[in-house]
Order: sequence, then structure tokens, then C-alpha cells
Amino acid sequence: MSFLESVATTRSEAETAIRTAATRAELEALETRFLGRKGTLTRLVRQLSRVSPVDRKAFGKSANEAKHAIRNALALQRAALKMRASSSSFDPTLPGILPVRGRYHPLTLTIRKLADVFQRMGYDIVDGPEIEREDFNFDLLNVPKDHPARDMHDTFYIEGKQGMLLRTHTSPVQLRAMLDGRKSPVRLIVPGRVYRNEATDATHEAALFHCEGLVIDKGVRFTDMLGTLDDVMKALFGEGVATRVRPSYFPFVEPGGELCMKWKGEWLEMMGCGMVHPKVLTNMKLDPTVYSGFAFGMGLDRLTMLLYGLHDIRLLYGGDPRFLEAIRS
Amino acid sequence: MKVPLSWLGEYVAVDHPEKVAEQFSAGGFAATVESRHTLPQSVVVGKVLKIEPHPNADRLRIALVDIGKGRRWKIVCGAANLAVRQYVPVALPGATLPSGAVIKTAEIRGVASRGMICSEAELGIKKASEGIMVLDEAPLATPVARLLGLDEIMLDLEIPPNRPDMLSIIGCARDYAALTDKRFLQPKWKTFVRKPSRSMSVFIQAKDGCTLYSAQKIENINAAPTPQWMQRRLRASGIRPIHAIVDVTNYVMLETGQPLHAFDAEVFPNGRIIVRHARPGEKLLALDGTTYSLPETAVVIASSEKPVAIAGIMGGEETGVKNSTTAVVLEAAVFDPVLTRKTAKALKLQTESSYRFERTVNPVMTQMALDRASALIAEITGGTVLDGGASVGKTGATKRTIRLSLDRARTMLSLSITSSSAAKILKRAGHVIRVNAKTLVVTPPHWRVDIEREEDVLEELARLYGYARLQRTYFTAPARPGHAPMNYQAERMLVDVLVGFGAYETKLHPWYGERLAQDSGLAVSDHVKLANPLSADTGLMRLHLHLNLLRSASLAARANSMVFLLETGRVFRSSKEPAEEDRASFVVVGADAYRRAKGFFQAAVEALGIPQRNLRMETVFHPLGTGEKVLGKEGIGHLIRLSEEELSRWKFRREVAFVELSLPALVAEMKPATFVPFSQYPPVLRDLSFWISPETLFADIVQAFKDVTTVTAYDVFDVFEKDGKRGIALHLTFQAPDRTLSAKEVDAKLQGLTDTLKKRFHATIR
Repeated sequence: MSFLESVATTRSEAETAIRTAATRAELEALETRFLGRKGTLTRLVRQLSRVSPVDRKAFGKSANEAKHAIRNALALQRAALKMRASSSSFDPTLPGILPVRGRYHPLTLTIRKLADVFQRMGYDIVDGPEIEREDFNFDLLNVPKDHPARDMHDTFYIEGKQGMLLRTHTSPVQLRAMLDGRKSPVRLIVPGRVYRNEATDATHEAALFHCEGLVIDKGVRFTDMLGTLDDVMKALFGEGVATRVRPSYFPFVEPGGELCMKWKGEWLEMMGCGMVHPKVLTNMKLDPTVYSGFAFGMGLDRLTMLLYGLHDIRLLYGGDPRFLEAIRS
Repeated sequence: MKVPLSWLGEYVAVDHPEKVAEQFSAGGFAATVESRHTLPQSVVVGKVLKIEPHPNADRLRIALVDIGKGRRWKIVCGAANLAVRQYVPVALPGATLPSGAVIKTAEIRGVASRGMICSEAELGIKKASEGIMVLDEAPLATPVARLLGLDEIMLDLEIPPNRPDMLSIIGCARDYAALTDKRFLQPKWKTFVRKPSRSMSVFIQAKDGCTLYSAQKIENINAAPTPQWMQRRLRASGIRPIHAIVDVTNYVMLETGQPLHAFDAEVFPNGRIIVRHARPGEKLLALDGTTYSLPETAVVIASSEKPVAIAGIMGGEETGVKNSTTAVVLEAAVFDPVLTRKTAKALKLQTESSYRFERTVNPVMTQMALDRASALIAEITGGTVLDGGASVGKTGATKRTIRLSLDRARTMLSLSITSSSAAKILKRAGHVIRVNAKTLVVTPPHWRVDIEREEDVLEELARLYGYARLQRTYFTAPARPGHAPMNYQAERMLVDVLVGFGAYETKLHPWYGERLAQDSGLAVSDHVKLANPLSADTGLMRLHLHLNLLRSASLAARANSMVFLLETGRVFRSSKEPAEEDRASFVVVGADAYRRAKGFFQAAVEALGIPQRNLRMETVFHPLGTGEKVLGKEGIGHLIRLSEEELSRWKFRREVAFVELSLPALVAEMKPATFVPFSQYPPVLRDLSFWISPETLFADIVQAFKDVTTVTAYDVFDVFEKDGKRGIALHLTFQAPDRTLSAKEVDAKLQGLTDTLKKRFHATIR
């Protein structure tokens, strides 16, 4: 082993021993062992004379460096031991103390998501009564009494109030908003609660959430509806989703359709839509030869279930904190 | 509508099932392919050749069964109805029955038995059955599933209420042909002339209930079984074969959409058929074995003596065809949709027939259906279709013409289409088109009652052209930001803040029962009541949010020491016009629940931009406990701590408080935030601890302090009770806007406060 190599070995040996020393006494001993009068490094330095004159300069330099490094290591380890002694109870690996964190209901998040998308597109958010007049809920929307189309909506009626019911859809707000004197062009959505007199099970609820949409202006086309709703679904579910609209029947629209979205390889019915029926436009006190528009309605429970992968609608209304905690990334 | 694909295929060339379903779906009838095939091919037709007694069992017999292909096997059978020359379903060894049972060659009481002769229950055709199933003569070894139509590929189509024409095989085939641009194969059925005759006459007295009544008599009927092909299709469509004549009426109804009814001709002894309103108190024993009290909307078919059928809904039990029937009167009529619907609803009796009448039936089809059924009955039973029939009413359809502006169609659908190609598309569905410059004059076919106005034709054009082929466009509108009502904004802010404080947001059912209302000290009469609730527990619309919230909190508190539940939503109050209000409510369970709830409330309203100074708090007693009422310009809400009794009623074991606030009342208090300059001089802090009577309200102390001096802030850092006294400890902050307060000044202020405490509240300073 050359002298230079011996210095390097001694240095790394010393540094390792110092880093693992656990007491001050140990450090004292190490100091003596390496830097003391009879210490390893000291003895090496004394052999300087035996080093060839050519290498002497390099040897001197490395021996000096080694001495500084060992001193430095000793000082650091002394400080570390001191620190450890003064804060022996500190364990940075203990878990953090969590703040109290509340949870939003997933329906709230769906409604907000939807409302934000539409508000960015210039749609107003509009509200209407949940206890509704029968004519607003049905007749004025072109669903006459004793028409089989009423079978599509199982209805709760209000006792002692002839002609009053719990709205079965948010569509009556279309009429209310227009009769309120809204000026064209109109773009609005109505998120809110609706009611269906149906026994509850995993896919049916009697009190649920819908969102209605309405666009009215001069010259609004059927194909404008196709474009708009495709955009909305993409904003909600990502650019990757595909939509298609198929013919369907809702008495208050003509032509009518059902918008389906391709989700995880399957086409799912997402919302009913169509051009506002001329009779309904007339009931809105609009001239159907001048104005046109489209309307759409979707179930927010279903949308929420899809967004979060829920299989039982009843969980949404159970008031169970565990349910909210179970919604996570 | 369940459509056997093979039946559809008689009238139009069909693609493979999935494609057909897709084509119907794209045409507006959401369709699914249903395969109901649960019976394996190894259940086959066999013929009983010989029956021998079982040597070791009285009830068992040994049948020698020919199952074709030269196989004659011995099968042990326990059925009493087993007889020689019967055709029977035989499950061969290895067959798995719908129940999951696997058939094996077995020794039954010492006799080898290969396979099993099955009952209808064992084949999964009926829930329960007696004895083995006896089949009509059929080629041996034919799989029974095929024989009975159990292997039919079925399409299940959703038919909207405006398309009654689609409630028939013919209608479906016709629309399928139109959608796919194929040829509809018009059925060629025998026709009969219904000349007025002396032997039969129809009197329509209920003119509002019946616009057409045609009757056809068929005589010399012999009892005969329904042919297997017809049974197959009926079974596949979900209708159980009963009797050849009834089966024909059902079959033709499915085929044409026209409900038919067959009466035993003896029902009308003098040939008089009367269509009239039900008389008050009139009853009828219907085919389903139930005696119905007929409502006033009911229209009945009656002989000169008595009612024999509820028009359009169900026939009478006594007047239907029997095995002994030798002559029948076949009815095809048009009954009023609204009256039929009202009667069916009143009787809670919806039938295939009433379902179709409610949606309107096509008068043109009545005659075709009557002819078709007559011919089939004659063919099956060997009966004679009499020349004489009777028909009263209009058999033609009303023709409408609708004008479709080509420009409108082009704009609406963003389609550059010529009038001739638009006409060509519409013609596929049977519309007769006359092109008049840029207008299409459309005469819809008689079966399309849904086409009434231009928009309907527009949809028809788009539907036949294909929605999927239309381009997607955008309308232009001013770039104006969307507006949201204040309630919506306030609700959103409130939920954000409270969830930030740790609230779990819920959405609960907006109703409860009368008991909960009464137990909670609420008047049932204040509630909006449902006339037809789901159950007694859901009959009242909620008057407040907190009741259901407390219920959920009680459940949650079983598993959690701290509970903080929140709900925003609507409440309802009964008045002349039912009143609705948007509210927010939250429940806090656990130590210091009230003070924590109050803190959430105070911080939340501050966050909404409501200055505390504009709110007034009044202590109140509430049916559920005590607390404070919040008042602004109007009542805003309550903060209530549950009383001991309420805690045990709701099954709580820790302190519980709830807050309920009116959103519009909060909105009325909201103010925009502005900068209020703060003092640049240091505050002086002093502590003040004292004993006081527990009856003294803290609010009164603060009020008294205000009269003496200005305290910048109070922080209650300790409250406790000992020996009937309450100890309170405060951090007080004194600060002036314009200078540093001297120690002397602050001492003087503090002295003023301690004097007040002693004098006004008999407090002792600690």
C-alpha cells in the first residue's frame, strides 16, 4: 500500500467510525485513536521523511486534508449527539394531526360541476317551486289529462289542494321563466328536486334531482342542440366521450330525442331533449313562427352515480357519514 | 312490445337480431334482443307406446317411449295423467332442466329409467302444474324448446305513447321497412263482407264511448286445439294459450294491434248487441274471476238483458267462449281512449286491450283484424263465417294534410336537401307527398296518428334520414355571463364554509310521518300533506330540515364521538298557497355542542358578509330544547340545544345542538365587504376571572360592560360550575384607535368592570 493509499484508508475508516459513534466518550476515544499523539494519522505523518521527494507534496496535502476532515466529522457528530440528547422525544415520523375536514355531498358536486359548465356558456341558473300546479307540470307542457303520456310520471298530489302536486320534472320552470318576462335570447338551466311516486330500490328514488335546460331565440336549430349537448357532455365527462341523439318522445318537444353517451364501452341514455313544442312556445306567450329553441332534462342522481361508480341510489339519501367518506380518489 | 323476430320476418326481410335492435333504436324505439332459451335441445318430443305397472311401486308406472331415430326407451313415471299414444316432452340423460336439475339414467325402485317425462313446471313454463305435459302431435325427437317457441329470438321494443301503430307486429314491420328502406310485405288476408243482416244488429247508445263497432258471427264451430305454431308465438310473446278462439283473438291483436273479443253467440239470443254506459250499481264478473263494480265512466257491451263485457278492457266470465261453444260473435271496435283509461284506472285493471284503446286504435285496422281472425277461426275450428255481420260507425281514417316548408326543414336540420329527395324519404313510411314549389304537402298514412303538424313531419324526416347523420352546429348568442339567484350563491358559500369547518353534507328525504311531527311539537296542520304518499312515514312534506337531520345524526352518533351534519334544501308550509323556503340546517353532537354550533354559525354568517352587529339574538324555549332565536330585518332562524327529554327521545348520549336558518333571510342581511381601518397602536390584554350566579346570562354581563366602558374584544377562555356558582374567566383586549392606552387608563377601565360585576351581578372576583 502506498502512503497516499494509507492516508485515504485511514480517513474513510475514521469518518465511518465517527458517524456511527453513539456517545461523547466514544468520540473522545476515536479522536485519540486517529489524531492523538500515537494516533494512526499522526504516525503516518511522521513517516513523511520516508516518502520520495517527488510524492512528498501530494502526501502532505492529503494528510492535512484527512486531518481536517476527521476533525470536522468529530465536530459534526458531537453536535448531532448534543441535539439528539436535547430533543430525545421528537419523532418526525409520527402521523400529522389532521384538521377536521368536512365532506360535500356528491350530488352537490354534480350540480356545481354542471352549473359551472353552463354558467361559463352564459346560461342562467333558475329556480322554481317544488309544489307545482298541475297545469304547469302537465297540461301546458302538452301532456293533457287522461293521456297515456302521464303514465311516464307517477305523481304525488297535495291533499286538500285541488290541482297541486309535487313537480315530476323541472320542465314547468321553463314556462315559469318565460312567463316571468324573460327576454330572448334565453339560456337557462334549472337544477332541483323532483318527485316520482315510485317504490324505492337500488335504481329508483321517490325524491330525486333533475336538471332542466332551455334555449330560446330566433333561429335556433335542431342541429344547434346536437352541437351544444355534445359540448356539455364533453365538458362534464372529458373530451374523449362520444354522444349520439336518437329519436324519442316527450310531449313537450318536437322533434324529440334521447341523448346517449358512450361510457366505458357502453351507450348510456343520459338525457331527454328536443325542440320546444310549438304548443309549449305558445303557452310561453311566444310566437312559434318567430321563436324556436331547445330543451333538455337529465337525472342528476344517475349522472352522479355514473361519475362516482355508485350502484345503489339509496346511498345518496341515507345521511350516513360513512357514505361520504367512501367517496374518494 | 315483445316481437318474435321470426314473426316480424314474415312481413319484412330482417337482418341479424343485434342489427335489427340497433336499427329500431336508431329509429326511436329503444330495442334489446331477448333470448329466452333456457330449455336445452336434449328435451325432445317422445310418444308413449306402452305403459306397464311398476313391479315395486304402486304409484309408479313404466312407460315405453319412442323418442325417434329408432330409440325406444323405458322411463319410470309417476304422473297419473300418463296415457298411451300421448306426445310428451322427454328430458334425455344429460339434459339440464331450468331448475338446474341434471337428468341421469337411474334405477328407480329397481327398474332402470332412461330420462324423464316432464311436467310444465319442470320445463319452466309454469310455476306449478299437475301431471306431465301433453303435447300436440309433433315429429318425434323435435326439441321441445323449438316446438313451444321458447327458443324464439325476441326483440323488446319501447313504444312511446304516441305510436300506437307500433303495438303490432305489422306496425313494427312497416316501420322497420321504412327505417331500413326495405319492402314491407303486405299481408294478403281473406276478406269478408259484413252486410247488414236481420240476425244481428248493433246499437251504440254510448256515442262518446264508442265510434265504431263491428261484429262477425261464425257458426258450426268444433272444439279444436290451437295449432302449435300459434301457441309458440303466443307463448313467446308472453301470452298463455287458453282456447283456440281466444288464442286467435290474442294472436290477431298482437299481429294487427286491434284488440278483439269473442262472445259465445248464445249471449245475444235475439242478435241485439248494445254498447251503452254502465248503469249505477251495475256489476260484472269478469274473465279474471273478479266481480267489478262498474264506475260511471265504464262503457259496457250488453245483450238486451245484461252487460257481458267491459268495453275495451275485459269480457265477462259467463259470456266468453267455452269448449261447448258452437258459434261465436267476434267483436272489433273503436272505444274512446279517455273513457277506457278512466275506467281501467278506476278498476285498477290494465289489459293488453285497454292499453291499446287508451293509445287509440286504428279504425281501418278493425276490419282487417276481424277478417283475419274470422278466417283463422274458420280454418282451425272448421266453422263457417256468416255472410251477415253488423258494423256501426266509421271505418275510414280522417285524412290530414300538413305542409312542410322545405326552407324550414333545411334550416332546422342544417341539411341541403332537395324537395324530391325529402319526398322520397318520407314516402318510405307511407306518407303521400305532393311537392308544391318549396312546400311538401304531406298526407300521413292512416296508421300514423302522431303526425299532426309541421314539426312532426320535420321529426319524421330527420328520423328516417337518421339523426346520426345530421351535423352538429352552434347557435350564436351574446357573450353574456350566466346569472345565478342569490339563494343559490348564498347556499353555495354557506356549504363551502361549513364543510371547511368539518361539516358532512347530506341530502335527506324531504318528508316524514305525522308521528315524528307530533312528537316534535309541530302541528300536523302546518304541514303540506301528500294525498298519496309512499307510506304513512312519508306523508308530510318537511316543515323544517332539522328533524330528519337529527334522525341521521342520532344514527351517526352511535359510531362517532363527534358528529356535524349539514343539509341545505327546501321546506314547505301549508297555507292558502303552499309556501316554500330554502333553508340551511346543521346538527352538532358531542362536548360543547351548542357553543361549537354557535361558533360555526357566527363564523359562517361573517363569511357570508353578515355583520354580527346587525343580528339580534334572543333566548328562546323551543319544543326540542332551549337556545337562541336569530333576528335581523326578519326572523333568520334558531340555535337550539336539545333538552334532556329530547336527547333520550332521539337516543343521543352526548350534548346535541342544531341550527336552522332561512337562506332568503340571510341573503337580506348580506353586505359587500369594505375596508375598516385598524388601530396602529398596541392592544393591552387583561384577564378577569369571577364567580357569578349560574342564572346570570353572559349576554347581560356584556351589555352591562358596554354601559361602563369600551372593551375591544372578549375571549371566554374558561367556564365551569362549582358549588352552585359559575366561574368565568375572560381575556379582555383594550385598544384605542389613536394612541397607546396607558396602564393607568386600563386599570381604571378594569376597575369599572369589576365594580359593575360586584354591584349589578353580586359577583366575586377570583
